[in-house]
Amino acid sequence: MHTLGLLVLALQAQDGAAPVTSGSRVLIDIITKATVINQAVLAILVAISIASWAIILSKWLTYRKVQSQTSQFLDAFRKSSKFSEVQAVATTLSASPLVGVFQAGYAELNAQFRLGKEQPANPSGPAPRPTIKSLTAVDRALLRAATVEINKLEKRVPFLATVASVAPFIGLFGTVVGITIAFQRIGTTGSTNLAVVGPSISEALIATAAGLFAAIPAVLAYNHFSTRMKTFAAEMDDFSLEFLNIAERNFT
Amino acid sequence: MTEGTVTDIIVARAQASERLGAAIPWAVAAHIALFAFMIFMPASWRGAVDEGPRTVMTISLGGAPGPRNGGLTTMGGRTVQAPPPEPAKKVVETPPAAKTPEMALPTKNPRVVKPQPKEAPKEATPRTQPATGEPQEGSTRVNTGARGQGFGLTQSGGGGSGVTVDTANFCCPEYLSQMVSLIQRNWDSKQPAAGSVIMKFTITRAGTIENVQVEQSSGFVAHELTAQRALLLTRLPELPIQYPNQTLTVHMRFEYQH
Repeated sequence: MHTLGLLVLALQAQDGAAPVTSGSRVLIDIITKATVINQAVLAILVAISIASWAIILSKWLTYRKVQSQTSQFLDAFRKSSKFSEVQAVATTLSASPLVGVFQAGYAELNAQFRLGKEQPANPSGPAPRPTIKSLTAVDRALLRAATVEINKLEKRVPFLATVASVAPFIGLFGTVVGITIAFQRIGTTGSTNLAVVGPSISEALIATAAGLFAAIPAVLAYNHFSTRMKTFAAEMDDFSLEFLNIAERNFT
Repeated sequence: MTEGTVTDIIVARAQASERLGAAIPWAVAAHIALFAFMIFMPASWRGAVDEGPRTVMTISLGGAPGPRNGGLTTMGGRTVQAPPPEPAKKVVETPPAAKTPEMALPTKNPRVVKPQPKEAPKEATPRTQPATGEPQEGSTRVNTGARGQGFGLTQSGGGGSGVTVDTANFCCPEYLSQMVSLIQRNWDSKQPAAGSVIMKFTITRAGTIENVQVEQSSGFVAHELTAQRALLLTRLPELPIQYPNQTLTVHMRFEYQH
């Protein structure tokens, strides 16, 4: 007994020799073997997710366009000395909400000018400086336009908030139903073996995962869009006041 | 529009809202792409079990050498005692019915026979117990029904006492003990220099040893050669049916003590 003192064995499974279920099969198996209720839940969640992504995409493009056209419009508005020049530019930048506000204010001004022209105070004198009768009417017109513009910007964004709050619940519903069915299966087979329990619970949990998958982008996008919308609303308020100031300075 | 009323303008603006239709195909395409990505992404990204090298078990035969008792059982180094025999059941004996004494005449000068104490049979004498009262190692084996820890690695005649087995994943420790003993038979452990070599090899399903590699050298070529020779000479039985994989990779340390 003079040599063997220490013998260490480390056994290893041969690299890649184990029969690995291919990844593509796992996900498809989970979906195809799920119960009908779970499949319906998954279908609803996928539809909701597609709708919310479509809204996110279209809103993102819209807001980008709105932002660039708004800055262009403000540049043009501040550089030009006549409202008629601004009006000419405005038709090409119709995506900006400020254009709607401006057009409404401009139309109100024109309407008041027309009323003033119908009753000339001094027909023999030089053409009178156009004056407006009511500045509050102009203000109201601007306010109406701003409300409409905000509504337009806000359109479909509340759907994202709905998805954000409802999708996890739909997913949870699918999971709870799936786990209920899994426990029934355990009861009927009489086996608590992981091989029996595991797949059913995995199928059930995929619904919650799908719910979160739909909800998370919706939450992020909703918060982002809300912030942007506040900015746009503030810009419109600011523009309305600027417009009123100019009108008061020049036409009263 | 320049001459329209305020209401006309507002209504026209409200109606000219962006259309969602163009974005839906993109959203569908994005979902399909994501799903395809999840299906076809490498299994390791999904947290699948890495099939790389992992230690299944470690057997170490270290510590002070055990007594030389021929091995054959992991109980070899310990004293074993047979369980005490069960006490005989007491049989309730009913006393015989009282007999009326026969009428007999008393004999004259009756010989009184003194009852001699009977000598106990030899089997009944207790064996000599050790003075200390502690059980000593016997020379005979006693079948106690106790089982070893899977590896009867004392086949070498008292390999050692410290046996730690970590059979985390491998199904069949009996196969390993068989493998160790078969390799040891072919291994010439007598070398002029001390050192240890770690060999890596693969056992196929049929039981042949392949891919013999030196994983850690001792610095002596003779050590590696004898270890390699031992492995190449060994013919192992087929891998156990319970073991699912096609091959089994083993790392074995050959310890040469001068």
